[in-house]
Amino acid sequence: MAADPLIPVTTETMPAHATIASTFDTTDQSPATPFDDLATVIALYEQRVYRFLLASVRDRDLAQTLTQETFLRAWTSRASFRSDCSIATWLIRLALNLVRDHTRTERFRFWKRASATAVDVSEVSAHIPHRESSPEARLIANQQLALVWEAVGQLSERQRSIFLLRFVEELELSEIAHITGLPISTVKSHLYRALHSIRDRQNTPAKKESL
Amino acid sequence: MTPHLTHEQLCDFVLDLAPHPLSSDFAALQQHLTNCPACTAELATLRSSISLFRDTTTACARQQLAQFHANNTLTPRPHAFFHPIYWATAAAMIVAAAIPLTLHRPNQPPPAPVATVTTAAPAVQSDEALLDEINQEISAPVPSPMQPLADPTADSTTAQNTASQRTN
Repeated sequence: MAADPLIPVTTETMPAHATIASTFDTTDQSPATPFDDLATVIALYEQRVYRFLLASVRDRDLAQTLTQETFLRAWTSRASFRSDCSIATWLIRLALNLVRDHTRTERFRFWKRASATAVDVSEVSAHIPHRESSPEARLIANQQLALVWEAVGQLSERQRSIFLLRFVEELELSEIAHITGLPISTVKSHLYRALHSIRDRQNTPAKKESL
Repeated sequence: MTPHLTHEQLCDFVLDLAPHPLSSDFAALQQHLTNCPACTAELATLRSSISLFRDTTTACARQQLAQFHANNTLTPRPHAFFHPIYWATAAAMIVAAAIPLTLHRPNQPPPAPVATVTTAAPAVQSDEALLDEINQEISAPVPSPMQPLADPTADSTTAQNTASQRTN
Protein backbone atom coordinates (compact mmCIF):
# COMPACT_ATOMS: atom_id res chain seq x y z
CA MET A 1 0.00 0.00 0.00
CA ALA A 2 1.48 3.34 -1.00
CA ALA A 3 1.47 6.41 1.16
CA ASP A 4 -1.14 9.03 0.44
CA PRO A 5 0.40 11.57 -1.93
CA LEU A 6 -1.84 14.26 -0.45
CA ILE A 7 -0.02 14.07 2.86
CA PRO A 8 3.70 14.42 2.53
CA VAL A 9 5.50 12.92 5.48
CA THR A 10 7.66 15.66 6.91
CA THR A 11 8.64 16.64 10.41
CA GLU A 12 5.83 19.19 10.31
CA THR A 13 3.02 16.91 9.14
CA MET A 14 4.18 13.99 11.22
CA PRO A 15 2.15 13.60 14.42
CA ALA A 16 3.89 14.12 17.69
CA HIS A 17 3.96 10.44 18.56
CA ALA A 18 5.93 9.71 15.41
CA THR A 19 9.00 11.05 17.07
CA ILE A 20 8.73 8.67 19.99
CA ALA A 21 11.05 6.27 18.24
CA SER A 22 13.76 8.89 18.24
CA THR A 23 12.97 9.99 21.78
CA PHE A 24 13.28 6.64 23.50
CA ASP A 25 16.31 4.51 23.55
CA THR A 26 15.84 1.96 20.80
CA THR A 27 19.08 0.16 21.38
CA ASP A 28 17.54 -2.49 23.59
CA GLN A 29 17.86 -6.15 22.85
CA SER A 30 14.23 -6.79 21.83
CA PRO A 31 13.80 -8.24 18.35
CA ALA A 32 13.26 -5.81 15.53
CA THR A 33 9.67 -5.17 14.47
CA PRO A 34 8.19 -3.11 11.64
CA PHE A 35 7.05 -0.63 14.28
CA ASP A 36 10.60 0.38 15.11
CA ASP A 37 10.31 2.70 12.14
CA LEU A 38 7.14 4.28 13.37
CA ALA A 39 7.21 7.23 11.00
CA THR A 40 7.04 4.92 8.02
CA VAL A 41 4.23 2.88 9.56
CA ILE A 42 2.25 6.05 10.20
CA ALA A 43 2.83 7.29 6.68
CA LEU A 44 1.57 4.03 5.28
CA TYR A 45 -1.37 3.26 7.53
CA GLU A 46 -2.54 6.46 9.16
CA GLN A 47 -5.22 7.18 6.59
CA ARG A 48 -6.60 3.70 6.80
CA VAL A 49 -6.75 3.67 10.57
CA TYR A 50 -8.28 7.14 10.60
CA ARG A 51 -10.92 6.11 8.07
CA PHE A 52 -11.97 3.15 10.17
CA LEU A 53 -12.11 5.24 13.33
CA LEU A 54 -13.96 8.09 11.66
CA ALA A 55 -16.60 5.71 10.32
CA SER A 56 -16.85 4.07 13.74
CA VAL A 57 -17.13 7.08 16.06
CA ARG A 58 -18.29 9.70 13.51
CA ASP A 59 -16.38 12.48 15.20
CA ARG A 60 -13.34 13.90 13.49
CA ASP A 61 -11.51 15.10 16.59
CA LEU A 62 -12.13 11.90 18.47
CA ALA A 63 -11.08 9.87 15.44
CA GLN A 64 -7.86 11.84 15.26
CA THR A 65 -7.18 11.34 18.95
CA LEU A 66 -7.84 7.62 18.71
CA THR A 67 -5.65 7.37 15.63
CA GLN A 68 -2.74 8.82 17.54
CA GLU A 69 -3.56 6.56 20.47
CA THR A 70 -3.55 3.56 18.14
CA PHE A 71 -0.04 4.27 16.93
CA LEU A 72 1.11 5.01 20.45
CA ARG A 73 -0.19 1.63 21.58
CA ALA A 74 1.40 0.00 18.57
CA TRP A 75 4.71 1.47 19.61
CA THR A 76 4.47 0.59 23.28
CA SER A 77 3.32 -2.96 22.60
CA ARG A 78 5.38 -3.56 19.47
CA ALA A 79 7.23 -6.39 21.17
CA SER A 80 4.02 -8.40 21.17
CA PHE A 81 3.59 -8.07 17.43
CA ARG A 82 3.90 -11.41 15.72
CA SER A 83 3.98 -11.79 12.01
CA ASP A 84 0.94 -14.07 12.03
CA CYS A 85 -1.11 -11.14 10.73
CA SER A 86 -0.41 -8.11 8.65
CA ILE A 87 0.53 -4.73 10.08
CA ALA A 88 -2.78 -3.29 8.93
CA THR A 89 -4.74 -6.05 10.62
CA TRP A 90 -2.84 -5.55 13.86
CA LEU A 91 -3.35 -1.79 13.77
CA ILE A 92 -7.06 -2.16 13.04
CA ARG A 93 -7.32 -4.55 15.94
CA LEU A 94 -5.77 -1.98 18.25
CA ALA A 95 -8.07 0.69 16.86
CA LEU A 96 -11.11 -1.52 17.36
CA ASN A 97 -10.17 -2.13 20.98
CA LEU A 98 -9.82 1.59 21.52
CA VAL A 99 -13.23 2.23 19.98
CA ARG A 100 -14.75 -0.38 22.27
CA ASP A 101 -13.08 1.07 25.34
CA HIS A 102 -14.12 4.57 24.45
CA THR A 103 -17.66 4.13 23.20
CA ARG A 104 -18.77 2.14 26.20
CA THR A 105 -18.33 5.04 28.57
CA GLU A 106 -21.11 7.41 29.50
CA ARG A 107 -18.79 10.30 28.85
CA PHE A 108 -18.59 9.33 25.18
CA ARG A 109 -22.36 9.16 24.88
CA PHE A 110 -22.67 12.59 26.38
CA TRP A 111 -20.04 14.18 24.17
CA LYS A 112 -21.41 12.47 21.11
CA ARG A 113 -24.63 14.40 21.64
CA ALA A 114 -22.86 17.68 22.36
CA SER A 115 -19.88 17.44 20.05
CA ALA A 116 -19.37 20.16 17.50
CA THR A 117 -17.02 18.01 15.47
CA ALA A 118 -19.49 15.23 14.82
CA VAL A 119 -19.67 14.11 11.21
CA ASP A 120 -23.13 13.93 9.69
CA VAL A 121 -24.35 12.56 6.41
CA SER A 122 -24.49 15.94 4.69
CA GLU A 123 -20.78 16.37 5.28
CA VAL A 124 -20.03 12.94 3.91
CA SER A 125 -22.34 13.33 0.93
CA ALA A 126 -20.24 16.29 -0.21
CA HIS A 127 -17.68 13.68 -1.20
CA ILE A 128 -19.93 11.70 -3.50
CA PRO A 129 -17.91 10.97 -6.61
CA HIS A 130 -18.98 11.76 -10.16
CA ARG A 131 -20.00 15.31 -9.45
CA GLU A 132 -20.41 15.82 -13.16
CA SER A 133 -23.38 13.45 -13.24
CA SER A 134 -26.95 14.65 -13.64
CA PRO A 135 -28.86 16.23 -10.75
CA GLU A 136 -31.23 13.27 -10.67
CA ALA A 137 -28.36 10.81 -10.37
CA ARG A 138 -26.81 12.89 -7.61
CA LEU A 139 -30.10 13.04 -5.76
CA ILE A 140 -30.46 9.27 -5.92
CA ALA A 141 -26.88 8.86 -4.75
CA ASN A 142 -27.54 11.22 -1.85
CA GLN A 143 -30.59 9.22 -0.83
CA GLN A 144 -28.73 5.94 -1.12
CA LEU A 145 -25.89 7.23 1.00
CA ALA A 146 -28.24 8.67 3.62
CA LEU A 147 -30.03 5.34 3.94
CA VAL A 148 -26.84 3.38 4.40
CA TRP A 149 -25.42 6.02 6.75
CA GLU A 150 -28.51 5.88 8.96
CA ALA A 151 -28.70 2.12 8.85
CA VAL A 152 -25.06 1.73 9.85
CA GLY A 153 -25.58 4.24 12.63
CA GLN A 154 -28.43 2.16 14.00
CA LEU A 155 -26.45 -1.07 14.06
CA SER A 156 -25.14 -2.44 17.30
CA GLU A 157 -21.54 -1.66 18.07
CA ARG A 158 -20.32 -5.11 17.11
CA GLN A 159 -22.35 -5.30 13.91
CA ARG A 160 -21.18 -1.86 12.86
CA SER A 161 -17.55 -2.74 13.44
CA ILE A 162 -17.84 -5.94 11.46
CA PHE A 163 -19.72 -4.18 8.68
CA LEU A 164 -17.03 -1.49 8.44
CA LEU A 165 -14.23 -4.03 8.51
CA ARG A 166 -15.79 -5.94 5.65
CA PHE A 167 -17.19 -3.24 3.42
CA VAL A 168 -14.98 -0.23 4.13
CA GLU A 169 -11.68 -1.87 5.01
CA GLU A 170 -12.44 -4.76 2.67
CA LEU A 171 -10.97 -7.37 4.97
CA GLU A 172 -11.56 -11.06 4.48
CA LEU A 173 -13.87 -12.86 6.86
CA SER A 174 -10.93 -14.75 8.33
CA GLU A 175 -9.15 -11.47 9.08
CA ILE A 176 -12.29 -10.05 10.68
CA ALA A 177 -12.59 -13.19 12.76
CA HIS A 178 -8.97 -12.79 13.84
CA ILE A 179 -9.46 -9.12 14.76
CA THR A 180 -12.72 -9.56 16.63
CA GLY A 181 -11.93 -12.93 18.14
CA LEU A 182 -15.19 -14.34 16.83
CA PRO A 183 -15.79 -17.48 14.77
CA ILE A 184 -16.23 -16.93 11.06
CA SER A 185 -19.79 -18.18 11.25
CA THR A 186 -20.62 -15.50 13.82
CA VAL A 187 -18.98 -12.84 11.69
CA LYS A 188 -21.08 -14.01 8.76
CA SER A 189 -24.30 -13.89 10.71
CA HIS A 190 -23.50 -10.37 11.92
CA LEU A 191 -22.96 -9.33 8.32
CA TYR A 192 -26.24 -10.90 7.26
CA ARG A 193 -28.07 -8.94 9.94
CA ALA A 194 -26.32 -5.71 9.06
CA LEU A 195 -27.20 -6.12 5.40
CA HIS A 196 -30.74 -6.99 6.37
CA SER A 197 -31.02 -3.66 8.18
CA ILE A 198 -29.76 -1.82 5.13
CA ARG A 199 -32.14 -3.63 2.82
CA ASP A 200 -34.99 -2.88 5.19
CA ARG A 201 -34.17 0.82 5.05
CA GLN A 202 -33.93 0.75 1.29
CA ASN A 203 -37.23 -1.04 0.84
CA THR A 204 -39.22 0.89 3.45
CA PRO A 205 -39.75 4.05 1.34
CA ALA A 206 -40.83 1.94 -1.61
CA LYS A 207 -43.37 0.13 0.55
CA LYS A 208 -44.71 3.41 1.87
CA GLU A 209 -45.10 4.78 -1.63
CA SER A 210 -46.90 1.66 -2.80
CA LEU A 211 -49.38 1.97 0.07
CA MET B 1 -38.75 -19.88 -12.87
CA THR B 2 -36.99 -20.53 -9.54
CA PRO B 3 -38.11 -18.53 -6.49
CA HIS B 4 -36.36 -15.29 -5.65
CA LEU B 5 -32.98 -15.32 -4.00
CA THR B 6 -33.07 -15.58 -0.25
CA HIS B 7 -31.49 -12.89 1.86
CA GLU B 8 -28.52 -15.13 2.60
CA GLN B 9 -27.98 -15.93 -1.06
CA LEU B 10 -28.11 -12.26 -1.93
CA CYS B 11 -25.67 -11.47 0.88
CA ASP B 12 -23.34 -14.19 -0.30
CA PHE B 13 -23.13 -12.49 -3.66
CA VAL B 14 -22.37 -9.17 -1.99
CA LEU B 15 -19.81 -10.79 0.28
CA ASP B 16 -18.22 -12.71 -2.57
CA LEU B 17 -19.19 -15.91 -0.82
CA ALA B 18 -21.32 -17.28 -3.61
CA PRO B 19 -20.93 -20.96 -4.44
CA HIS B 20 -17.99 -21.98 -6.53
CA PRO B 21 -18.45 -20.81 -10.12
CA LEU B 22 -18.20 -24.35 -11.38
CA SER B 23 -20.83 -25.74 -9.01
CA SER B 24 -24.39 -26.47 -10.05
CA ASP B 25 -25.73 -24.16 -7.32
CA PHE B 26 -23.87 -21.23 -8.77
CA ALA B 27 -25.23 -21.96 -12.23
CA ALA B 28 -28.76 -22.06 -10.91
CA LEU B 29 -28.33 -18.78 -9.08
CA GLN B 30 -26.82 -17.11 -12.10
CA GLN B 31 -29.64 -18.41 -14.22
CA HIS B 32 -32.15 -16.89 -11.83
CA LEU B 33 -30.38 -13.56 -11.75
CA THR B 34 -30.35 -13.46 -15.51
CA ASN B 35 -34.09 -13.99 -15.71
CA CYS B 36 -35.25 -12.05 -12.62
CA PRO B 37 -35.04 -8.25 -12.90
CA ALA B 38 -36.19 -7.79 -9.28
CA CYS B 39 -33.35 -9.81 -7.79
CA THR B 40 -30.87 -8.27 -10.21
CA ALA B 41 -32.00 -4.77 -9.25
CA GLU B 42 -31.91 -5.62 -5.55
CA LEU B 43 -28.38 -6.93 -5.82
CA ALA B 44 -27.23 -3.97 -7.89
CA THR B 45 -28.76 -1.48 -5.47
CA LEU B 46 -27.16 -3.15 -2.47
CA ARG B 47 -23.77 -3.28 -4.13
CA SER B 48 -23.89 0.33 -5.33
CA SER B 49 -25.04 1.60 -1.92
CA ILE B 50 -22.19 -0.13 -0.14
CA SER B 51 -19.72 1.01 -2.75
CA LEU B 52 -20.97 4.58 -2.43
CA PHE B 53 -20.65 4.39 1.36
CA ARG B 54 -17.08 3.15 1.10
CA ASP B 55 -16.01 5.72 -1.49
CA THR B 56 -17.48 8.69 0.32
CA THR B 57 -16.13 7.59 3.69
CA THR B 58 -12.69 7.19 2.18
CA ALA B 59 -12.81 10.58 0.48
CA CYS B 60 -14.11 12.26 3.62
CA ALA B 61 -11.41 10.70 5.80
CA ARG B 62 -8.68 11.63 3.35
CA GLN B 63 -9.82 15.23 3.15
CA GLN B 64 -10.19 15.64 6.90
CA LEU B 65 -6.85 14.07 7.64
CA ALA B 66 -5.16 16.34 5.10
CA GLN B 67 -6.93 19.32 6.66
CA PHE B 68 -5.81 18.25 10.11
CA HIS B 69 -2.20 18.04 8.99
CA ALA B 70 -2.47 21.38 7.24
CA ASN B 71 -3.83 23.00 10.41
CA ASN B 72 -1.06 21.44 12.45
CA THR B 73 1.51 22.86 10.07
CA LEU B 74 0.01 26.34 10.22
CA THR B 75 -0.48 26.41 13.98
CA PRO B 76 2.54 27.87 15.79
CA ARG B 77 4.29 25.57 18.18
CA PRO B 78 3.93 26.16 21.91
CA HIS B 79 7.49 27.28 22.45
CA ALA B 80 6.94 30.05 19.91
CA PHE B 81 4.91 31.81 22.60
CA PHE B 82 8.15 32.82 24.23
CA HIS B 83 9.48 34.38 21.08
CA PRO B 84 10.57 38.04 21.66
CA ILE B 85 8.24 39.28 18.94
CA TYR B 86 5.23 38.31 21.09
CA TRP B 87 6.57 40.19 24.09
CA ALA B 88 7.38 43.24 21.95
CA THR B 89 3.86 43.21 20.54
CA ALA B 90 2.34 42.91 23.99
CA ALA B 91 4.44 45.80 25.30
CA ALA B 92 3.47 47.96 22.34
CA MET B 93 -0.20 47.24 22.97
CA ILE B 94 0.08 48.17 26.64
CA VAL B 95 1.82 51.45 25.78
CA ALA B 96 -0.77 52.21 23.12
CA ALA B 97 -3.54 51.66 25.63
CA ALA B 98 -1.87 53.84 28.28
CA ILE B 99 -1.18 56.87 26.06
CA PRO B 100 -4.82 57.99 25.67
CA LEU B 101 -5.27 57.81 29.43
CA THR B 102 -2.32 60.06 30.14
CA LEU B 103 -3.38 62.54 27.46
CA HIS B 104 -6.92 62.66 28.74
CA ARG B 105 -6.14 63.35 32.40
CA PRO B 106 -5.17 67.16 32.29
CA ASN B 107 -8.38 68.12 30.55
CA GLN B 108 -10.51 66.95 33.40
CA PRO B 109 -11.89 69.75 35.72
CA PRO B 110 -10.29 69.72 39.15
CA PRO B 111 -13.30 69.89 41.45
CA ALA B 112 -11.69 67.94 44.22
CA PRO B 113 -9.30 70.67 45.50
CA VAL B 114 -12.09 73.29 45.56
CA ALA B 115 -14.30 71.04 47.52
CA THR B 116 -11.56 70.33 50.03
CA VAL B 117 -10.83 74.06 50.48
CA THR B 118 -14.44 74.99 51.12
CA THR B 119 -15.00 72.22 53.54
CA ALA B 120 -11.61 72.50 55.22
CA ALA B 121 -11.77 76.22 56.15
CA PRO B 122 -14.17 75.90 59.12
CA ALA B 123 -12.34 72.86 60.25
CA VAL B 124 -9.05 74.78 60.35
CA GLN B 125 -10.66 77.62 62.30
CA SER B 126 -12.15 75.31 64.86
CA ASP B 127 -8.81 73.54 65.17
CA GLU B 128 -7.04 76.85 65.83
CA ALA B 129 -9.62 77.83 68.41
CA LEU B 130 -9.20 74.52 70.12
CA LEU B 131 -5.42 74.91 70.16
CA ASP B 132 -5.75 78.44 71.61
CA GLU B 133 -7.98 77.13 74.33
CA ILE B 134 -5.52 74.37 75.11
CA ASN B 135 -2.66 76.84 75.22
CA GLN B 136 -4.56 79.01 77.64
CA GLU B 137 -5.32 76.05 79.82
CA ILE B 138 -1.68 75.00 79.83
CA SER B 139 -0.32 78.49 80.45
CA ALA B 140 -2.68 79.07 83.38
CA PRO B 141 -0.83 79.07 86.77
CA VAL B 142 -3.43 76.89 88.39
CA PRO B 143 -5.32 74.31 86.34
CA SER B 144 -8.97 74.88 86.16
CA PRO B 145 -9.85 71.79 88.16
CA MET B 146 -7.63 73.15 90.95
CA GLN B 147 -9.12 76.65 90.99
CA PRO B 148 -10.58 77.66 94.40
CA LEU B 149 -14.30 77.47 94.56
CA ALA B 150 -16.32 80.60 95.03
CA ASP B 151 -17.21 81.33 98.74
CA PRO B 152 -20.61 79.89 99.33
CA THR B 153 -21.02 81.77 102.61
CA ALA B 154 -20.94 85.20 101.01
CA ASP B 155 -24.66 85.14 100.34
CA SER B 156 -25.54 83.72 103.83
CA THR B 157 -23.79 86.61 105.77
CA THR B 158 -25.76 89.20 103.92
CA ALA B 159 -28.91 87.29 104.67
CA GLN B 160 -28.03 87.16 108.40
CA ASN B 161 -27.37 90.94 108.42
CA THR B 162 -30.78 91.69 107.04
CA ALA B 163 -32.37 89.35 109.53
CA SER B 164 -30.62 91.03 112.48
CA GLN B 165 -31.66 94.38 111.17
CA ARG B 166 -35.27 93.20 111.21
CA THR B 167 -35.01 91.98 114.76
CA ASN B 168 -33.45 95.21 115.79
